[in-house]
Amino acid sequence: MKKVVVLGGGVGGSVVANHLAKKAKRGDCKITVVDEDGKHVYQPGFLYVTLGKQSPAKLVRNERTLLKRSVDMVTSRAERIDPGERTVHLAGGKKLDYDYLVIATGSTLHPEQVPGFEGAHHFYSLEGSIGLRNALMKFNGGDVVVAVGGVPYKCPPAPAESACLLDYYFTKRGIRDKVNLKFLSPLGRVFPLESLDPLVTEVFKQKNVETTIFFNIESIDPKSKKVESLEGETVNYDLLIAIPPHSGADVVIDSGLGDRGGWIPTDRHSLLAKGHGDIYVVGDATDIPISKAGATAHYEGLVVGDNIAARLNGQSPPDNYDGKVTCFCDAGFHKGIMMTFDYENPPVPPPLNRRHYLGKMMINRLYWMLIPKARV
Amino acid sequence: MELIRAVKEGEVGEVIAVWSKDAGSQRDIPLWIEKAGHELLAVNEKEEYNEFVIKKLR
Repeated sequence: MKKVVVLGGGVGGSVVANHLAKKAKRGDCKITVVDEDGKHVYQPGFLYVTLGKQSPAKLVRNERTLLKRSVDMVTSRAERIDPGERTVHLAGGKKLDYDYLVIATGSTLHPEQVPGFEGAHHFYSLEGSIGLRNALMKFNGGDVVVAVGGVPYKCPPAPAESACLLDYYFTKRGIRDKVNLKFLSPLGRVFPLESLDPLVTEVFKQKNVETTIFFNIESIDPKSKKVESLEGETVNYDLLIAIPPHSGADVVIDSGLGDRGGWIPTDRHSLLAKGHGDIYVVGDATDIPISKAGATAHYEGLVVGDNIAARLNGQSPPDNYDGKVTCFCDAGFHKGIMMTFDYENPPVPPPLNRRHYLGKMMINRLYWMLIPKARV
Repeated sequence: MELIRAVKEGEVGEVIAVWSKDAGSQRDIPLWIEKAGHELLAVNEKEEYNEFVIKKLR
């Protein structure tokens, strides 16, 4: 029986494991998911935690409960991958052999890479989101700055979404006129997806969000409450929301499989790690220059599940990943946008409407039932 | 985004090549290099993309 080891129990790892368990013939393979803490976290809910609209506890589930019974689960830290021996070394000296390995280890946050980051808040972890929620509750006016501390970062539209939702939040609290919202974009436009930039620029204008382009955080001075960019500009803040720098996972870096940022060079269609015919990569862990987002990991996971199932059956891999991503953004005041795009087709500027807002709310509610279980 | 990442991760003096085919980047890359204080050594037009060659100066 072939052994398939999946590193990481997030969206990508869960989708691969459950989809493959459905597709593979019974007895063809033994699937093992390895996750450090065995917890699956629904990260798109973090923004709503910051606004006090989401219970943090409801964003976390035990990964075991999301996996099919035929999938084994090991709660342990993967320390090193040995592609030559086809082995994963776990904490405590245990080893797992594999015939196919799937690396779905996501990204790791590195606030310590920005000097003075302790002067900022963020919403890229559950703890960070709770801290930001508490800071926002006490905030009664001044300059609120949303900025990016390193590229690439997860869910590129999220900082813009955060600015829109802060406009909504402060309006509902009746203090919007006391808050100056500033959005510092790391790129030469406000929104990462070029075709949507005019729409988001207009939305920011209507919401009175001040924007600065080409601002990549170099350092923060918590005493004087200033943030400096590597392009040489300085902006004052009273409350700073900064996206921490990201890297690939330690196990990738320690195994020598990543580039300088710890991202694994990956073929963008087959999703095989370059130079390795038996290692697939899904989600944030790849170096493919597309959104590091749950939707990306979801679609990639289905492709990888199909391809491993076919190879186990002696067939050629049937699927190529075409870069498909679909996601919803909440623009505040119960309006949203939906974006669908792939490698060749950028998103068509969508209408800002209530239907897409409801689409986002629906995904937030149905996520646990549908996506990790690979039902869609 | 890839250019900013590569420049940030690189050493001062290092020469970095970025391939890009999207229209926004053709405009944004030279603007960012100037604003961030680096040097654009060359723009090589290829069949399907442009290659920007940059030297990290600081």
